[in-house]
Amino acid sequence: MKLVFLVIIIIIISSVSENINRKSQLPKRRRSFSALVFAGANKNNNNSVSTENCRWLRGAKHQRRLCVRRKGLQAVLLKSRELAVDSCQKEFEYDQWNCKNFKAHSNKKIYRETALMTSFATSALLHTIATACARGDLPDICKCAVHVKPPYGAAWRWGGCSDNVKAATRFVKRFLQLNKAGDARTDLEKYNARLGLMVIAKNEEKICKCHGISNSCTHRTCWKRLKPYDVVPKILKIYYHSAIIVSTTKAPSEVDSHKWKLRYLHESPNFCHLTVGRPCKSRENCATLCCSRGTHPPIVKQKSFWCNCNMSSSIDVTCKVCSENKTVLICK
Amino acid sequence: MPGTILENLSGKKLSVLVGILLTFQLACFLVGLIAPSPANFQNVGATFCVDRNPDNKDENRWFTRQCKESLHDLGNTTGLSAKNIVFVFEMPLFRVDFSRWQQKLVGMVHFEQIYQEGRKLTPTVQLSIDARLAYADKTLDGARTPWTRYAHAQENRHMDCDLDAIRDHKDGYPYDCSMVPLFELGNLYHDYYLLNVRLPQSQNSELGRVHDVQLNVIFMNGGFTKVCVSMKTVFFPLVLGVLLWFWRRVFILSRTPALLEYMLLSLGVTLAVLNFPLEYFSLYFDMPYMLILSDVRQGVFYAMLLSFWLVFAGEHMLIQDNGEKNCLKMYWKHLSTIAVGCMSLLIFDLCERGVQLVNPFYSIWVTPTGTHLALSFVILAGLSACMYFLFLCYMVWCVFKNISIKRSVLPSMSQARRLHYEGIIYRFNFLMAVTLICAAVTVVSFILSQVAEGQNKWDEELDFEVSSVLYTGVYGMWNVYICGMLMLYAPSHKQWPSDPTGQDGEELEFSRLPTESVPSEISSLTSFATKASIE
Repeated sequence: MKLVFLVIIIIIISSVSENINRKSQLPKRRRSFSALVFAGANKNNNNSVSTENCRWLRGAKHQRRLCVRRKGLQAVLLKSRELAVDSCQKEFEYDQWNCKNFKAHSNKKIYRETALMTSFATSALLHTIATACARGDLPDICKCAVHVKPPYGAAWRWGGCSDNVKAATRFVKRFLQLNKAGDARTDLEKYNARLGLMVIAKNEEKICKCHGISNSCTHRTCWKRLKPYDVVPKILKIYYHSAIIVSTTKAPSEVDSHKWKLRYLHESPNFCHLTVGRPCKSRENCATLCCSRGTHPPIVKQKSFWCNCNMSSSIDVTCKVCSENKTVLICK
Repeated sequence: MPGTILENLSGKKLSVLVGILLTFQLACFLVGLIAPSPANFQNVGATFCVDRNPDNKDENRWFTRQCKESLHDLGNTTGLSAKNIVFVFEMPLFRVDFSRWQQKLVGMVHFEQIYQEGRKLTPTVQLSIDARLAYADKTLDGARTPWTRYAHAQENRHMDCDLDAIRDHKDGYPYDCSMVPLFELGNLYHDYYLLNVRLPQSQNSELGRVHDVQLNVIFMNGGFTKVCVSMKTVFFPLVLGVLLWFWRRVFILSRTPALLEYMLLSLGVTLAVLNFPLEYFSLYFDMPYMLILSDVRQGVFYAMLLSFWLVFAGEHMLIQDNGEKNCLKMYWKHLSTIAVGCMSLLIFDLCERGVQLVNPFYSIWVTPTGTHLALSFVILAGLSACMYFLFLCYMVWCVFKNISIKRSVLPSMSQARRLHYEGIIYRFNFLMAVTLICAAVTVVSFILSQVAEGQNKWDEELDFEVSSVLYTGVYGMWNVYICGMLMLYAPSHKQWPSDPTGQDGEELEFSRLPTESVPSEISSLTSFATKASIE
């Protein structure tokens, strides 16, 4: 009898301590969306194993719940992750930090790089969601006339639908809880996320069409077209270079948001140890990238590329493969 | 000889009438507050379907968003050629259906291309598009009827590409080309539309590697149409009533109606035609000619308004060459500018929208001959508009010059007569000012609506739409203006000799002028002119 009692006590104590442990772990496990986006790419693009589910969002409760509940969102989120990571790595291929340093996220610090990754993740998310909306892939998110409860028929017949980018922005703000107040640190993250949204909004092209009497401009309708994402990384890189360090106490307000600057809290660590064995492209580039360690002797590699392309149509192109000798420089 | 109501009306009654008209005007602006923006758009992304049997000529083979085999993106198309790819657009998005209140559908496509190294680029890309449009309707239980062919055409288009943007970029970089107008439907009779676009292999040698295709459709907002049609429904009987009253007034006179009265009557009739809420019929009948019809209705109204201004100025020229006046022939030079302008616009409209009745993909601008033809019509219309305004300005200038000359004679008249004439000149000037204000408001509101549409109104959620407020306001303004003209320029029923003295200042009426001799004059302003010239 005593033994049973003891066992029960032990079980209770252990479960309580487990609970306590879990509770103490909880804030640690909560991770920002951008951290998850870039963490997923750590595993050398073998994310096909976990495609079509929301498991990679473990640690971000709100985002994961939305991912599971919204029809079609899983695939779109994966696509946005791919876009963010690929474009960031492509853009920073020849920089000391090449968008692959994920330690930046692990210890709760906001470096210049962390700030940039936040903006990258948000802008890619907005872009993919808006594109998917236009295809009708996200029926739960890009609804017609957002202010109205379903059925939307009456609102649609009265005033049409809102713009896809608008609807997508609204959803992204909800998804990332950008309007929810947090502590100064999360506020800063949200500010950088909003900067990502702003870059996409600025990347829209305005198109107008006259359709009045005899197609004159008595009626003119304008809309904004989302341009391809390719320009966004270049713009974000400029923000990366002009980023400013701020103190935690001063959260950026919406008032001075017309002077958008990427904001971070902590000075970046030295990335020189990361550049060993990486290719660089020119003398100047090699000097900075290799952190004055110099390069290995140039290796001549044969590089093949497409040439003499012949367009038999807009879809298929027949090209010849040309090759060229190219010297490759690799950091010591 | 009786004058018009304008001259015989006391200042008090005039102000009451103006007050009523201004209230109507204000109501028109306020009505615009509840309307959404006039038109809206929807951006539809393409679904890339694979057609394994491209040589099948069956016209009723439709690819929908749920096609058997579709591609995620156009990055990997090995084993496929251009004729295998079908770009599928279903309209509208988001599980809603088009309403007939939405009036029309204008579609434009945008081909996103990516640059490939080693490829020569041209600033203008010739396109050949095989486009098919189908429609479906909602059945009573919420399902869709099968897709039925609406139109099929192989059309040529061209787009202008911005090559500067890619000069320093590498392989795989997207480059920008202009949007291509594709189709225009004059009414939205059906609930759903489906567009299948193919890019025939042989003719599209200048097109780069297509990366994505987007379709943008513009349609009128149902709410805006409803507000407009309700305005028309209210205005139509009102204008008709004023018109009948005006005509009865003219007919009870013993004389033949004057030219200005004929002009006013026809202006009122064209306004009534413009106000006729024809849109109700398009809710029940398939009327693809609605666009042409509304173009013609508005065109006729504007032509009539412009002619009226000319004749109005001409009839108040204060120079009476007796015998020649009161006849349209006198104005043939001036009116021919309007006729030429309107005819060229009509021909242009028929060339484009008339053919679109048969083939909604047709555009006059794609062939060089068509472009030259269209441009020459538009330039001709513009030239005649310029000529017209020169004529009009000259005539108005003449009127004012004559008035100022005649005004200098006024002090030598008896006081009663002077007061009378001063009143007439004042009211004539007042009406000229009203016309100018109306024209100015129209021009300013046009510019404002252009600016409002062009501005970044995307972030702020405005509760009302500037352009629809301006639209309903201006539409109401011309209604009010013409109703006011019809009322003020109707012949007065007061026989001056029978009521020779003014009563308590309530009605400022004076004994008839002794030298009036021309029987068909409509206003004593012109009779004053005659008198003055005799003096």
